[in-house]
Amino acid sequence: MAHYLHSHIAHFYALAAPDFVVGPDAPVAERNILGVINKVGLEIGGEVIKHRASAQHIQEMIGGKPTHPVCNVPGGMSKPITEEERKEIEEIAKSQVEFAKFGIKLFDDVVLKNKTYVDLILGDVYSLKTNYMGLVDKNNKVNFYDGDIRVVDTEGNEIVKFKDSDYLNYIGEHVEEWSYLKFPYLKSIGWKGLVDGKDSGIYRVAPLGRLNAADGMATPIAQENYERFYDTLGGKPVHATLAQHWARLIEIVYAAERLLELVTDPEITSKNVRTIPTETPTEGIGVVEAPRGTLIHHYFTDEKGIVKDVNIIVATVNNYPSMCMSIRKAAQGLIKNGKVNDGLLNMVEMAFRAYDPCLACATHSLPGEMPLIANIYNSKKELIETIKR
Amino acid sequence: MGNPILTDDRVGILIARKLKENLDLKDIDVKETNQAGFYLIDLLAGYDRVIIIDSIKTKKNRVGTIYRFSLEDLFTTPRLVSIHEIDLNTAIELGKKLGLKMPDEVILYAVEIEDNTTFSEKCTPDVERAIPLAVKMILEVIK
Repeated sequence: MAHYLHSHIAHFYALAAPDFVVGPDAPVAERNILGVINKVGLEIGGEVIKHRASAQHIQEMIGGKPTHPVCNVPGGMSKPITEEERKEIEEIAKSQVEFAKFGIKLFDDVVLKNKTYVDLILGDVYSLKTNYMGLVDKNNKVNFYDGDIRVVDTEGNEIVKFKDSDYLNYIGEHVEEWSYLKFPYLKSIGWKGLVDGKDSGIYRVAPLGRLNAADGMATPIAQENYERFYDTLGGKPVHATLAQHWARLIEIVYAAERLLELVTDPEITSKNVRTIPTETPTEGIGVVEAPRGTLIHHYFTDEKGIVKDVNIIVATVNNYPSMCMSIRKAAQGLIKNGKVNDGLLNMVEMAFRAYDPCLACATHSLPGEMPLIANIYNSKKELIETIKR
Repeated sequence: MGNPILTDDRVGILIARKLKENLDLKDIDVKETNQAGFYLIDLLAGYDRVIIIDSIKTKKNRVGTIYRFSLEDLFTTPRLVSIHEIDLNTAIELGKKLGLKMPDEVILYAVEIEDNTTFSEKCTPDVERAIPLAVKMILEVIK
């Protein structure tokens, strides 16, 4: 839950808010988190930093390190949570619930009360009719780390619900020679190319995918907001790519509420955090909902328990076909007569940013320049302009 | 900064470890991280002067080249360099805006690298050879 909070807070306030609070076509030098703070005030900026950092602190307490924990050992966790840590986490969780409610109010005030933004979110340029996937509990409520994988179609009807260990029966991975990423699709429908609609096997994950694939949220304030989300946006499923941001804020509410539930459960300080394995494993499959979507790990081991084969479908990869289509649709809808300005280019980027793609994070080497290139082609596929960031 | 299991990406961490062995640590902290973005605010807050050591892949100079940058050299505008997080310059400016004590001076050292995509706990030879010189250069700056 703490990881969700830090990740979603960073994404919404640093990546999404500049487009809405400062404006999608604002000068690039102002369209950043500093611009957001200039608009909403220093106090709110401080709250953003405080709550992102306190969520990281919880991960550090439990996992030893904030983002890449070092607490996992075969059979469980390396140490339990102390009562002192539990109390600290409880105070943080209470504050996170209030901050999460503030995020919803900010979205209401800045985005939903602005007709231009609502039209932008609901416009065809940012819409894709896809299937959706996410983990759900036994009541079909969103769950981040347990339950079955549920898939719904473009109308919101359940196509299938399956156990994580059966994922290979349902998910295929198409390969294109022009990309090192694969293109996952539903095997029951098949790969039909980069097309959306009811005959396409492409599905989406992440906040919008999770909300669309579920019947609700498992905590009260998140559930209220879940209902308002669909009432406002015209019912289920919501196909508006930019609604990912609102869905993300609802998930912040859920994560904060759930964090508070978990940390006030007496069992949370149990010393029983590890069951030492007695058998050598041969194969293991694990599925969780990462902030950016369904994350599938599949391992095969040899007679010594050493990993010999791995298949991983990373959250961002599930959304990759949709990211390609979203960028194409935004570019085709927004760029007219080959005329591109910075504002239009940013609005194309917004289609990409909604997914919070994790493509750039494999290493932290400084590239020395912004690794973003936009090539503008005319209708004859002739390159007419290249813009570099 | 760096990922210690991605071949040359670990060079910044190796240099920092060598520096740690050769420094009087009374007024100096040596920290290792594979993170960036908002985390930089937590990492940098409270210090007067910071030296960041990282890898770089410009492909414009030979592998093992050592660069020294100031913030102005690399990031001239406070906008997102990464599509995923905030950059160093923005982190420092944001920290200052929020009333945190952020460093008055930030110097960046970076080593031109060859491979940061292969899992390995060993740098490539040209990067390995650059480490003693980088350590010497940074020690002179600190002293």
